[in-house]
Amino acid sequence: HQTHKSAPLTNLRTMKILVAVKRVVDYAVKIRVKPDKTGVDTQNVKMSMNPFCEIALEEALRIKEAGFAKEVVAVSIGPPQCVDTLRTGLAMGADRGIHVEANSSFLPLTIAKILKSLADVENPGLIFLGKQAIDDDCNQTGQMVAALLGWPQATFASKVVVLDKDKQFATVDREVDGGLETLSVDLPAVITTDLRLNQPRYATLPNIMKAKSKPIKKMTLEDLKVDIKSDIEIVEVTEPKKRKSGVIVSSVDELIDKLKNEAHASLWNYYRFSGFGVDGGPAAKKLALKLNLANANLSSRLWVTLSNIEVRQASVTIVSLIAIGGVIFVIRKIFGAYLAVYFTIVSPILYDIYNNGPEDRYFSPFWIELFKISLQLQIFRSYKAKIMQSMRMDE
Amino acid sequence: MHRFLLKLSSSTNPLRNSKNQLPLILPRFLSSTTASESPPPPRTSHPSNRFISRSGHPYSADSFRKSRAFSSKSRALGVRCISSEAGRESIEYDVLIIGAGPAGLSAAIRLKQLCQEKNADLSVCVVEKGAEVGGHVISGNVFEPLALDELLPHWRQEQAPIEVAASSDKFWFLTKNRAISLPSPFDNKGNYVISLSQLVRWLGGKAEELGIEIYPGFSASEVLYDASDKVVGIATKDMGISKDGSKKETFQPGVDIKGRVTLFAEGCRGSLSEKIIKKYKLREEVNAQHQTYALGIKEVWEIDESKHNPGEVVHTLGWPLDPKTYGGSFLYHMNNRQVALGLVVALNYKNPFLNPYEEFQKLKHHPAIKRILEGGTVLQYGARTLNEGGFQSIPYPVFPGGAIIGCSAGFLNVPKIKGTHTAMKSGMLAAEAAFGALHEGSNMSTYWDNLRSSWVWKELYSARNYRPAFEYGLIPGLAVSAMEHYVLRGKVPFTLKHGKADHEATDLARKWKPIEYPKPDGVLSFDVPTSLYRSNTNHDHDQPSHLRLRDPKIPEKVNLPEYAAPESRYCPARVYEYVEDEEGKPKLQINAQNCLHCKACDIKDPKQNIEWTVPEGGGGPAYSIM
Repeated sequence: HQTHKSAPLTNLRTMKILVAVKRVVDYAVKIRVKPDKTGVDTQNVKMSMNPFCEIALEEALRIKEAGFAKEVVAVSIGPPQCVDTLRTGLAMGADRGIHVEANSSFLPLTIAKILKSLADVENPGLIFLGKQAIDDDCNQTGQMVAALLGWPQATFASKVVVLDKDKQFATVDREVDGGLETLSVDLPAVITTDLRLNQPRYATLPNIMKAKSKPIKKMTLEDLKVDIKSDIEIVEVTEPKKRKSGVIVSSVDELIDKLKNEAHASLWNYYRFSGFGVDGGPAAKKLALKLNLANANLSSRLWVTLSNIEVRQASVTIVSLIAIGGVIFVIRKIFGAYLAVYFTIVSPILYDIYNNGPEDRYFSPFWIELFKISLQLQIFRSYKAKIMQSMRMDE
Repeated sequence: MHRFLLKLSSSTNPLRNSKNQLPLILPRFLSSTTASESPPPPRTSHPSNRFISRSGHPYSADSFRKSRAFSSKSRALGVRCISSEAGRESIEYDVLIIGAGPAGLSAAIRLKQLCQEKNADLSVCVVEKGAEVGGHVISGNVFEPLALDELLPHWRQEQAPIEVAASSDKFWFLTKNRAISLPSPFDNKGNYVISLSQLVRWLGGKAEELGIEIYPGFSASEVLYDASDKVVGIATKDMGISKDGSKKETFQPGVDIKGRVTLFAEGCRGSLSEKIIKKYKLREEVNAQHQTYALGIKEVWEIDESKHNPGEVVHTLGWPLDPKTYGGSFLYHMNNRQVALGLVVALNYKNPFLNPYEEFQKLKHHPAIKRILEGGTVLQYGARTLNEGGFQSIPYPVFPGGAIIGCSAGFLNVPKIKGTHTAMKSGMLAAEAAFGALHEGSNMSTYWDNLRSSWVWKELYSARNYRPAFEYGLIPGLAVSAMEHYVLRGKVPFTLKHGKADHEATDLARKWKPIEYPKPDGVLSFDVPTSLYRSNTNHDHDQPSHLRLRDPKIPEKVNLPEYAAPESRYCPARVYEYVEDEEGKPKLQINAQNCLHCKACDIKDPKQNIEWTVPEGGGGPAYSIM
């Protein structure tokens, strides 16, 4: 795994910023799935620049206007109509555009590879992307570009990016699940932009006119030597299932009546069938985790692996064995005792002694189980003694 | 950095209150190129560069040479009374066209064709308030290719989206449960069922190939006049003003676009066209009557293959509208399993409780219509007003500085319910007049003369008595129409007059009872928000409302008590709603973001209190197959 490092920037003032912009279905348009389910219908549909890409471009322009960069280059990958998107970008203020011709739509990894090739050619100091495109919501391309280039990345940028002229790094505030995170990234770097970063400027009429004379370079995939074979194939695109409409009840009595008569049946069914459900139900999920852990432990200590235990079957089996064992124990004690011996194997797994220490609440049930086991063994031994006695007596 | 030369506007505009500008005659600084250090623009294969003028330069370089300068700051240069805001930039063209619809684009294309024929070079600019060319275009539409044959004779070989020939003409009289077939008054042989939005987009492509500069996303908000009250151009709307009127950080002042000739092609009830007609008294000049209008509400459905019959043209009369309300519906089968279904309601209806949108939803449940729609899905929804004034309402379309073309003047043939071909022809005639005025020194009034000697005039003249006959009711109207169609063909010596203006025709609410409309079922009929979603309409939320009330007290004082708030019913986008304020009193709430730009409120408000002005460019619906 090789990291790629481009030549360190000698002067921020000559820095180039590469902004990737995507042509997507306009955000206000109602989309529909094509009848053959191969994708969303984009024929005769209004397309525009992805809103997050507009924010990315705006940020790049602000950095250039603040004097930290010399040139902003907009790049778009797609059919010939992408030139319109690039013209909008040029009208906002980008200096030049690059259009990489592609006839089909590509998944993020391919786009990332193309952007990497472009970065090798253009040597930008910063690559700006929108955090995600509103048509696929992948949120992958920026991160993949950074990984392919071996550059640092600051995704979901939400605050004005401040560059330090001398030390060549950028300070970025990121919106993360827990709040805001401030990162300092060395340049060259990849930054993806989130909604609150800025408000993109309008393309004014004089700028649109000026943009007509700004150059847009056309490149092909062969020029960039990118392998576009994708490991992912989209099999089917369907609309989400229509939600059943809710019912507004007019009084509390009506609500109770509905719960009793209509919801009751379904609750009953829920418990009846979802106890084990399709995958074994909630109990099985816990069991699966523990089984895996036990398996891992056993295999590491004993150098054998238990074969794949299907968790649902296992949980059904365990419960039924407990039931049967209990019954038979009452009727025919010795057989029940045999059956219950499996407790010695299963209990440690069930009570997860590998993970829990004495302070965990699992431990007391575990001791109870151990007690039960020892009881079984005692009974077993006493019966065995009796049998031996009876056998000796027979002789 | 570029060195910008300052070109100060020497025009005055008495209507522009926000700037205190005195008439200034300034030395004009002309620039030969935008002085810059960068090398001359390379000749890319950008579509607008494809047209090479006779001088061998790509077209856009020519237009740059025509005294256009860009200023980003107003520097005083020793001149007083420049407004302290960032100076507005001014761009000049030979011909400026407002609106990239059929009329506007036809005019632009005809101009360029004339330039090519006569070795002239005129710069043409088209501004369009929609985000895309064709985005605000909605029409039935059964297209008569008469004008297109004259404009672009080879359209059949140029992949025009005109493919489905009209195959049958059906005419039904609907009662609540039945559809009675009547002999069809329409003969659509030779016509095509199209989506006008697609056709306009194709025309836009053709126009750009000829070197016409089209700028979608810019709305013309004011007319610019010079010292002699001649129209010199328009100003685009300032962008980036927030709801309370303050400037946002993205504020961009509008741009003054000037034309030696300005053509207004804003469509029916164009906001600037109406101002011009009032200012220059264009209707009084030829004793024209007021314009009358109808509201069309349309949906495009994708239906079952088995029910689809491309080229089938159906018109209906009768249910759900009552005999006193003029209107009818249409159902056209396009290609790709799509049908266009719509209801047109004349806006001179009397009952203030009439809700055209709900009537349309009712229509869809009629057995004859339901049968076709069942199993289908709605693709798009939209609404727009259209002219029904016809011949009697055509104003004098020429004013100092330009002319009005297309539905802004009103050339729709009501009995045929076609206005596209006449709009296109009017654009072409205006272009010829403009070319004459600019290149050969003649006058724009030749437009009026050309109109009167063209087939547009003949057609509208022979169709003039159909619609006014319905003032007397449905049966007399049908009787007169039958007479006109089969016997008279307009050759009578008299011309019937229109009744009251649409806004005056609304009766007081106490004379009528509210109408109970059925609830939408979500399969055939829908509520307004669901339909609105399908129009792809949107406006930036943080901008001042583009629907202005001349007197903000009138809705609560007059509209609500006397007319039961008709705007909450005729608006097909639920823009106007009365909600209770903190004191429990109903207050008008304007949801300007929903607006479909149909102009029904501008037409039908009883006291003409609502003024429709343009919002920020790029907002509004995004029709693509309407």
